[in-house]
Amino acid sequence: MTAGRPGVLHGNRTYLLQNDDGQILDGHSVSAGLDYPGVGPEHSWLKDSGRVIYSPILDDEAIEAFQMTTRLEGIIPALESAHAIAHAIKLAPAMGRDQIMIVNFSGRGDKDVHTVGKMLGMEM
Amino acid sequence: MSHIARLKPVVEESIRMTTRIDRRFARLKEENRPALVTYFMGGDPDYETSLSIMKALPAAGSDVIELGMPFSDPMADGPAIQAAGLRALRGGQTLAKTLQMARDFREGDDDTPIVMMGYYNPIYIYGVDRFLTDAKEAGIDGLIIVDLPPEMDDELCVPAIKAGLNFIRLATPTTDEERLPKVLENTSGFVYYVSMTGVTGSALPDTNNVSAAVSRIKEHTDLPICVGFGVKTARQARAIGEAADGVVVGSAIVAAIAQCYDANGKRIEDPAEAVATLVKGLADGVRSKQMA
Repeated sequence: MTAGRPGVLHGNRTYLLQNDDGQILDGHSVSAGLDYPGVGPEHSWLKDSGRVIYSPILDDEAIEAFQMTTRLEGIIPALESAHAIAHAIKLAPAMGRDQIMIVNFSGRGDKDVHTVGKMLGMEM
Repeated sequence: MSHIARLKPVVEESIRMTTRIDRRFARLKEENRPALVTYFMGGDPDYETSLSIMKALPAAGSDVIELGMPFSDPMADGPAIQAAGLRALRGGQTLAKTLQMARDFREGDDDTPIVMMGYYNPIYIYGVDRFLTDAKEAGIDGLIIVDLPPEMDDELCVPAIKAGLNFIRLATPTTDEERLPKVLENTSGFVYYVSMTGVTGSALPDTNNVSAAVSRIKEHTDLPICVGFGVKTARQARAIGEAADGVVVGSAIVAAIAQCYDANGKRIEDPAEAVATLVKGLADGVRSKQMA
């Protein structure tokens, strides 16, 4: 959303990571669900219509948010959701105490424990 | 009634122009033999080698050339053509260079039809109008764009027909009676029957099934039917040629090119010669149909 431009892949016209010849570039993400060179077309529409602001999050930031939520809340978030939490952590300090923020935990992180363990250098 | 109205060709017959493809199939009909349609990947493994392969095709017996446009995400292709596309991209092939190959080829051959085959995104990024202008000027006769269904005809198919290019569509064993008219509606040049479900280069199906499928499609169209996906040998080409108006060979040619290089990418054989030998054998197979 921040590095791509509109193209057509797998039957969708949407924002894609691609070069000037329309060849698709490899995406990368620690989270399998985000490791795709495009986004759902509805996100492209929400971006273009200005209704949603999309922000990138680094792998390390997502891992840190994953650990923090697990430790402080006892909730293991999916790595995909951990990206949203990471951004919430960035936004929160600039907000007033009475302002409310909602983060959608779209999935559970049990499935990601091995990935995170490896990232943290554990023997799995 | 509304859906019947939709089934009328979007582009009137009068706008459709005769291309080298139409002329070639008309001639082959007079000769009473099927076409040999040969696919190779533009720029595999580099521009000059690929152009020499293309130039060798007509003399070896190819009636129609399918010029592959490499794409990073070739979801309809099997391992052989996927690898060819990656080799071409590593060799620096772009859509502009693939068009240039057609231009270079046309300097010595103004008869053999050229169909560009590939995926939509590189064309979309190049710009549809600019692409059609450049393709027409480069001597391209038709397009096969595998990831644009009939529902998206306004994107490229209708503009292509208006620009005087054939738009060739794929039909498969799963294209049923309800779907077939929709698929054929704006198809011109020929129909490419994919003889099985799966990706390019997979195993060849039963010839009887192909014959039945060709008959089924012929109930819906007067266009020539070419059959492909899995044809590797002269014997197979002959068998398919007895059932269809043309035989498409792709993966076998692409694999023959790959075999001209060792594991380190060093050339151990001339790819143009290897392809010419293979195509001559296939052409003999296809042409032996008339004697039968």
